[in-house]
Amino acid sequence: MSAMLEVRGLSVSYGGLRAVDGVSLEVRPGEIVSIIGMNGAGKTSILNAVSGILAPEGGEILFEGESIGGLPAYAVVARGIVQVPEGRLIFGTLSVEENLSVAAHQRSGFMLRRRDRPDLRRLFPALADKLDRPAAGLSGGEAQMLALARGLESGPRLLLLDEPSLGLSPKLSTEVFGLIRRLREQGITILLVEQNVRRTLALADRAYVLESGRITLHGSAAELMSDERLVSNYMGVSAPDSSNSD
Amino acid sequence: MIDFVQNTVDGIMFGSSYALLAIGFTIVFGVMRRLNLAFGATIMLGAYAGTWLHVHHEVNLVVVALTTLACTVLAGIYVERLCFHAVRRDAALASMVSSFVIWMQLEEVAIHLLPERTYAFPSLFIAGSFEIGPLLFRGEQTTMLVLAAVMVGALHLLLQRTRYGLALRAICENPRAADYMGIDTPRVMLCAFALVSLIGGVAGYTILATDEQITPFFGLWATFKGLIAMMLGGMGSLPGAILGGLVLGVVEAHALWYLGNEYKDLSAYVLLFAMLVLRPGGFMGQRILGREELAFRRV
Repeated sequence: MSAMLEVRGLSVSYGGLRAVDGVSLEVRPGEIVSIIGMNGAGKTSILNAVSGILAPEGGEILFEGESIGGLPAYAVVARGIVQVPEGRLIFGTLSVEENLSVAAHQRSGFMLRRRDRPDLRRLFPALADKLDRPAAGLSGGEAQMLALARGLESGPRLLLLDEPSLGLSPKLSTEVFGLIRRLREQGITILLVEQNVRRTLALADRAYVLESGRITLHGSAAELMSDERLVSNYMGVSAPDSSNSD
Repeated sequence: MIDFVQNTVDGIMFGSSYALLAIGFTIVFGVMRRLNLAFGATIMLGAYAGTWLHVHHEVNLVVVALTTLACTVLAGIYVERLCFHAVRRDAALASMVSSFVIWMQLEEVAIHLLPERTYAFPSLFIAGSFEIGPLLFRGEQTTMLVLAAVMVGALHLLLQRTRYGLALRAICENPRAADYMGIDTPRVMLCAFALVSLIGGVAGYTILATDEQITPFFGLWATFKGLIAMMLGGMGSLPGAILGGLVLGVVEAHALWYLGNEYKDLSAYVLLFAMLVLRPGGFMGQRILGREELAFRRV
C-alpha cells in the first residue's frame, strides 16, 4: 500500500534552533502512527510543518503523492489534513456550537446555519447538550473533546493529534484513547504525538522515536514495546499519566 | 431643561458618527492588536476624491457619496497591504509607524489633488428639519443617526450570523488557533479592512455633508475623534466604541452650548483625561479583561 503522508528529510528551525533535523516518516491509509519522544524532541514541530503552521527549512512533505511542504495552513486543511493542537486552543469566548462552526469554515455557506450533527451526539454526547454554552465554561476533559470534535468538523482524512491526553486524568485519558480508536474505525488516518508511551504503543500500528530532532528508532508498535532501550528510557517516566505538564 | 434635552439629542446624533469612527479603530485593534493610524487619512482621501469630482465635473450627490465610499475602501486596502499584510504578526509597532507614514502620504496626495485649503462639500438633500414636541431634529443629523444605526445593525448581523464574522471573532481571540482551523487569516483581515473602510467612509461622508466643507485636516480630526471615542469605551470593545462615541458627542454638544465653540474640542480632551485617571480601561474595560481571563484560563 502506498503512503498517504510521506515526509522525506524534513528539517524545521524554530526560534533560531534546528528543532527537526532530516526526519523521514510515512503514514499509510487507515493507520495510527505515533511519534514518541521527550519534551522538546521536535514532535510538535513535525506536525506544525505538515499542517503548514511552520515553514519547513528543507525536505519534502507529500500528501497522496502531491507536495504540500510550505503551503499555508488553510490550503493544507482544504486537502484534508487537520491538526488538533497541543493545549487544545479552543475559543473560550465563543459558544461550543460556534467553535464547531469555525472549524467548518471552509465547508459552510456565507450565512451560518445550525447543522444537524449526528456524529457529535454519537461520539461526544457530553458536548451535544452544551452547544450554546460558552466554551470557556467547559471542564478540561470536555475541552479536549471539543478540540477533537472541532478537528473532525472539516471532514479530514488525516488527523494530526498533538498530546491529546495532556493534563487529563487517567480515566479521561482512557476515554480519549478509546475515541481515537473509534475515529480510525471510521476510516480516518491518524498521526499521533504522545508522551504516554505505553498507552500509545498499545493503540498505534507503528511508531517513530524522536530524539533531539532525529528519528532514532522506528518499527511496529509490538516491536518497539519489546525494545529494552525504549522501555527503560520512556516507560519509566511515563507511568503516572496526569503528571504531564508544560 | 429643554436646552439640555435638545443638546443631548444633538450630541447623540452627531456622536453616532464618532461611534462609527471608533468602531473602525476597534475592529482593527481587536483583530490585529495593532493601531491603524492611517484610518482617518483614508477617509479624508476618499472624501477628497468625491470632492474633486464634484468640483471639476459637477457630478450629483449620489456619485460623490459612492466615489467617497469606493475610494475610502481602496485606500483602506492599500494601507492593509502595505502596513499590515506585509508586516509580521508580532511586529505591532512597525504597523503603527508605517501607517503613520501612509497617513502623511495620503495627506500629500489630497493636497495635490485639491491645492486650496478649504473646499465646499455637497450637503445632503435632506436639508430640512422637523419637530417632535419641543425638540428640533435637523435633517442631516437625523440621516447620520439612521445611517449609523443601519451600519451597526448590519455589522452585528455580519459578525454574529456569517462565517466571515465568526472567523473574524475567532481570529480576534486567538489567531494561531484560527490558523489551525483552516481559516485563511490574511483574506479575512483584508475583508475586515475593506469593511472598516466602508464604515469609516459612511461616517466621513455624513460628517462632511453636515459640515459642508472639507480641509486636509479632516484626517487628523477623524483620527482624534475615533481614538478618543475608542479609548473612552475601552480598547477592543464594540459596544464600548458605540457608547464612547455617543458620550463624546453628548459632552461636546453641551460644551458647545454652555461654554462656546472654543471649548468643544477641549471638552473631549478633558473627558478623555478624566476617564484615563478614573477608569483607565474605559467603560467596557473590565468586561474585556474578564473575557480575556475567561478565554485564557482553560488554555
